[in-house]
Amino acid sequence: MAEPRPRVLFAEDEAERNRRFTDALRLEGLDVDTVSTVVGCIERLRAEPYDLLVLDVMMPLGDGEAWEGIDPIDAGVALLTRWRDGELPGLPENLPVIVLTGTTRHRELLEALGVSDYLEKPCSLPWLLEAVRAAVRTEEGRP
Amino acid sequence: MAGDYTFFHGEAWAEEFAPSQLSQLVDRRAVELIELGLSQELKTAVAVMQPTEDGSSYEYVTASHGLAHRAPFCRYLRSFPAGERLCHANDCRVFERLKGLAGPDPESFYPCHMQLADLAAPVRVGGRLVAVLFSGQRRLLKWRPALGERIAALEREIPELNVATLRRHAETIRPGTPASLLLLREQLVDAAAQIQRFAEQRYNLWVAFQARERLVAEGNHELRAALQAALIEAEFLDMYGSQVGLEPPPEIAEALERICGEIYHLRDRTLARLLASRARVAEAIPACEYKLDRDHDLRTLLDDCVRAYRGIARSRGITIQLEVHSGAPLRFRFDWESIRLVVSNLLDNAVKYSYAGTYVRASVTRRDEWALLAIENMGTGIPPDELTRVFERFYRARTRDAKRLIWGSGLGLTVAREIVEAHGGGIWAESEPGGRATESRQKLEGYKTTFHVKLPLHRKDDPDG
Repeated sequence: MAEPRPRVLFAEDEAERNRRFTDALRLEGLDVDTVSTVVGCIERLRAEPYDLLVLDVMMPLGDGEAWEGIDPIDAGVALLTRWRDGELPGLPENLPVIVLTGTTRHRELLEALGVSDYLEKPCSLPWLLEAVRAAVRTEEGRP
Repeated sequence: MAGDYTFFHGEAWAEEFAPSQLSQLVDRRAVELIELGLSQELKTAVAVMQPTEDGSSYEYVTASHGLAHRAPFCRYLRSFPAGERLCHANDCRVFERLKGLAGPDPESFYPCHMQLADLAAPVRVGGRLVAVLFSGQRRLLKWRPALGERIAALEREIPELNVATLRRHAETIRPGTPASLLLLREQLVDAAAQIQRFAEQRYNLWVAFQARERLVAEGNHELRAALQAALIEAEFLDMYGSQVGLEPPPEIAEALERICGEIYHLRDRTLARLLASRARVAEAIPACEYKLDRDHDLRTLLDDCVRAYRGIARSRGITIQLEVHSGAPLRFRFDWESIRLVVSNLLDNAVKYSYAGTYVRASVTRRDEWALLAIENMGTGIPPDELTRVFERFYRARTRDAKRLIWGSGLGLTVAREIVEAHGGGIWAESEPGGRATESRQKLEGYKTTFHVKLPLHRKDDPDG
């Protein structure tokens, strides 16, 4: 029986613009789903098992959604802080996360949150794929 | 009318106490407001520090919000020796000042209000303290809703501490009461109005500042997102074009490579400037700042860097040759971003100081327990007495050709050396006469300059190595 293909969730509000990234991941033998909002990302992570989340931290929370006191621009960061603080029940505890970001504002915070990788845009395709491979490999290596 | 009440805010108090005095001002605990520089919203955090037994330093007790238990933050806090701590305004100074004043027991609202107040105003009437007002933008609240509830509860317990209740107190002094009380009432209302105004002004300034920051952040984000999309589009065609029936013809492939090179170049120079400014601040970039959690292939890195510079080199009539002597990947532990910065600095110099029509050779090989990397160019060269000085801070080599004007910060090689040495490696330069080159129909004496970098394949401090 064939090995199951690693499953990656790509959370990016402009997934169409980064279609080539998902194309490349699929050509590399991974299953990729995309979501375009933070709320959508949470729902998908609760519903299905993934091996990796690639998260663009600057993405909208979701239509008509609001988290009290959170600037919409920071919804992706808030997702990670709340997840790590256990405020979002039902999300997997040890899922590797690669953060892809268009700003350096939250660098220290995100690294402190223990993400698998922190990649600033623009990031080369080979490097993105290398980061994904490394994260999925680590995940497979877990007991 | 002018009352004899006094306004204080952080900056004023900051001048009154030198940081070294602060440790004496606090009895058992020291409170620090520390700039984390994460973002406007997360800029401030309050940490409770306790002097160590020998008094040489402070240990971390607790802090005001979720960042505090994160390891880098704790490391950061622990690194402050006594007397040199980074103190910001309006925290312990406010607190200490309040302890000396009559009025509500400062212990009872410490430290919650301190975390949030960016304006604290003790209101005195006739030398008597009648109230202490705090106003803040509650920046931290959005990250910690629970903290907000605690503060709301505290505020209910200490009703004196807001403008509305101050006004209400004033209203209880009815006409017909003695003149001194009427005067007090007038002053209370005046004080409340002034405090309100001051708080509003600060708030408006803060809103304007936030708007500007946001504009910059959004522009930055948009630019990076556009570069990302363009880069991936081009690289996808290069890497997978043949698999998906979109293989570009050679001329287009070359154009795509140049586009990618320009994007890489833009990104790398920005990154270089950032790291250079960090290096300028201190020798204090400890080795643990480097990300050494994973092995990388040095050949992939060199290939990546050469791709970034090929287009720029070609536009100056210079060809970059990549020589990889060992067939196997050269995988070992290093910090990708900083070593990439080293290599791109060396390539940048090589291209800058080369004569047109010459080659830059980049090679990587393995010898014993070392990875050896060399970047060689033919150009103006470096005089023998300057071969070691080029690594000094802000040093710019005297080129033999005074007519060439070459831009640079004089920091690139300093940063490169810091990074390489932090990895347990070495960097050095050689420059010798190496034949003739022709530029603008002039025959020039060419110097072959080579920068060598060696990096250990196994780190001494690595238990796995």
